[in-house]
Amino acid sequence: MKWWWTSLLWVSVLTLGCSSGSSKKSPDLGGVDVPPPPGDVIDPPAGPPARNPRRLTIEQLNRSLPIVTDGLSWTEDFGEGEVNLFEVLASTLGVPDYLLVTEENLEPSLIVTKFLQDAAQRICVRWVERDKTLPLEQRTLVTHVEWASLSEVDVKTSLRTLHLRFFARYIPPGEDDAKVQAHYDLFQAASGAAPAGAEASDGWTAICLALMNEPEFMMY
Amino acid sequence: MKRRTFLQTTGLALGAMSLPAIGMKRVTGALDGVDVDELPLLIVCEFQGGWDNLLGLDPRDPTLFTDSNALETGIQPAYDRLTPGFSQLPINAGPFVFGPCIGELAQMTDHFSVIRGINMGTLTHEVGMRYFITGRPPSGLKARGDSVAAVATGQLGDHWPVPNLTHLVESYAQGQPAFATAMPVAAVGHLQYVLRKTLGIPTGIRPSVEEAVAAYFAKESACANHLGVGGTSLAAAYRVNRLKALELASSKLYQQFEFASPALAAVREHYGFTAGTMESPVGRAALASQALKTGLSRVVSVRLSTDLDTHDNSWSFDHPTRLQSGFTALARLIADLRDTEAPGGGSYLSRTTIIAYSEFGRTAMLNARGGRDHNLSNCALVAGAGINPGLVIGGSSDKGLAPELIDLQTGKASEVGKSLKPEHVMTTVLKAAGLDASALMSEPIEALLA
Repeated sequence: MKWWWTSLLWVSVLTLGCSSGSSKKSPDLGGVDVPPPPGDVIDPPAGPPARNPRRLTIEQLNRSLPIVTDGLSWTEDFGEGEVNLFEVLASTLGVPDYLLVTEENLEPSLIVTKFLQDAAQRICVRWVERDKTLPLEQRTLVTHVEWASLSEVDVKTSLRTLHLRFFARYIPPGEDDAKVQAHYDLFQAASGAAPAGAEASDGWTAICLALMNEPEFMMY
Repeated sequence: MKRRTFLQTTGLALGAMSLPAIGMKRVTGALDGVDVDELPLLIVCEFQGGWDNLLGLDPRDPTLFTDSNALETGIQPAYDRLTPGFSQLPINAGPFVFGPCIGELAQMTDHFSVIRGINMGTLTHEVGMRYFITGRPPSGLKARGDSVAAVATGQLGDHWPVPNLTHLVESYAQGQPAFATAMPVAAVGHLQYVLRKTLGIPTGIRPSVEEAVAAYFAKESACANHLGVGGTSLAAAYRVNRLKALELASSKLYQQFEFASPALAAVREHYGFTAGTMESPVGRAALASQALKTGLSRVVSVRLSTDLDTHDNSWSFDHPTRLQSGFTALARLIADLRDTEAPGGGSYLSRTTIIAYSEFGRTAMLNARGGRDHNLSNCALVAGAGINPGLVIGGSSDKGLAPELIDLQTGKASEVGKSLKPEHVMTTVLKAAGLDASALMSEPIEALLA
């Protein structure tokens, strides 16, 4: 790949950024190193220049959720012990059985998005309830000191950590970011409508629901 | 909630939102200006495993085709070997003669036509199945082109919560708008859970939180400038379905698919299943009917009958039972649509085109294990809107059931005619529904078109 092609690609990416609050000094490149400016000598990449994005398989999603939430899966107990709903609904979700279905359709279908929303609803409540009882060093959702804090600095600190956890996106401390701002706005909307004493819980529940249903989480 | 209200509050609103978001154009043409309620409906019925046409749609008289002349005719009806309860002779019904497993379908001859002597050109399950699903010969095992169901949905538009629903029938929609992709359900009992938020389990999440998240999703989806993977068309399609899923989960539509509930007792009674037997051909037929009648979907594919691939002596007891169950389910589906008035007048059957097929037929001779293997010669059944009923199109020879050439205009056998293929059948289905069939690059069977 020639350097100018790479530069053109990154220029295109930069011009596509949502304007509100986006960083001016360090563009969001999803953790990828900024390519050198025109004129530098770079080695041509060995593989193709890019690949199409892919949706997580149900198996990958089922394994990812406990990782981002530190152990929580979409499980229910219908009276015969806990079952994993992604496994129960595997055939409906298009998971190959290698008998009749040998390939998983990885389109972001209505049924997958709907069940991911269901999973998020069940997991997020458990995550919030568990997280607020834990000491700071064991928390994986709210990573600023005071769990119930509603301050912008505190909330954005945790949001940055969550972006790294969910999307592998590193946002340096103190840096403005449009997506973090959008999530902070959501936190405010949910906590602002909550009854007294439930502001932080509702805010973080909303954040969890949003993060688990972002395309950046479901795709790679 | 009334159907029209539901469409106005969910389907139509989402349709308007989704198309620009994913940069797809709705197919326009003959359906422009047609009221949404009067757009055609389509049901695709699959009989999985390869059905025995001698037992169903293309029989032979066992008094003429006997074991003693079987080597000469290459045809062995073997009706006397069927499990007790089945006729040992063909069944005459109106203009048709059927095999002993036709079931209640013999009472519905006013509503359908039969196509015989379809040359499948394959003896491989996946190939035959995908050939019918797409109306185009697969490339190896891989389907070529889109499912006819998706092609139809692409033209009908995004006016319904789930425009294209499929129960176990494969779907391909690469060349179609995102809404044309079929939503799959693997079981009749699953659909209510698909439609119901968190499967009906209370979450304890306050409505204000859900409203805030829904507003965030709407705002985030409207933003045209997303970075990285979030800026791709895949992510755009995901956002469309994310909003649609929220709408679906907030509706009460799932109640129409709680087949075990007292509210659906009349459905259970008509189709003849109980809460414990809904995962059956009649249950699947009920699913198809409910999906259309409640306005959930406009195109529905269902695998009515399964496990027809009987190479051994299970052919004599499993195959007839399963085949007849499928035909009976199809008959009850046709009756249900015939007896239900559609919005705007007329019956649902007058708006719905139905195709029933299997991936191929079975050999005319029994094999050494008392079963039947795969046969190129096949049949299909078409019914409903746009179809001339009471016709037998094409035919198979009296020597080995070989497909005969036919004149596509008249539907009659003709020595200078064409070999009848699935693309002719599926082109006919699309044309009968008033849809554009040019994607199949084939010709319809004109005699079938009303």
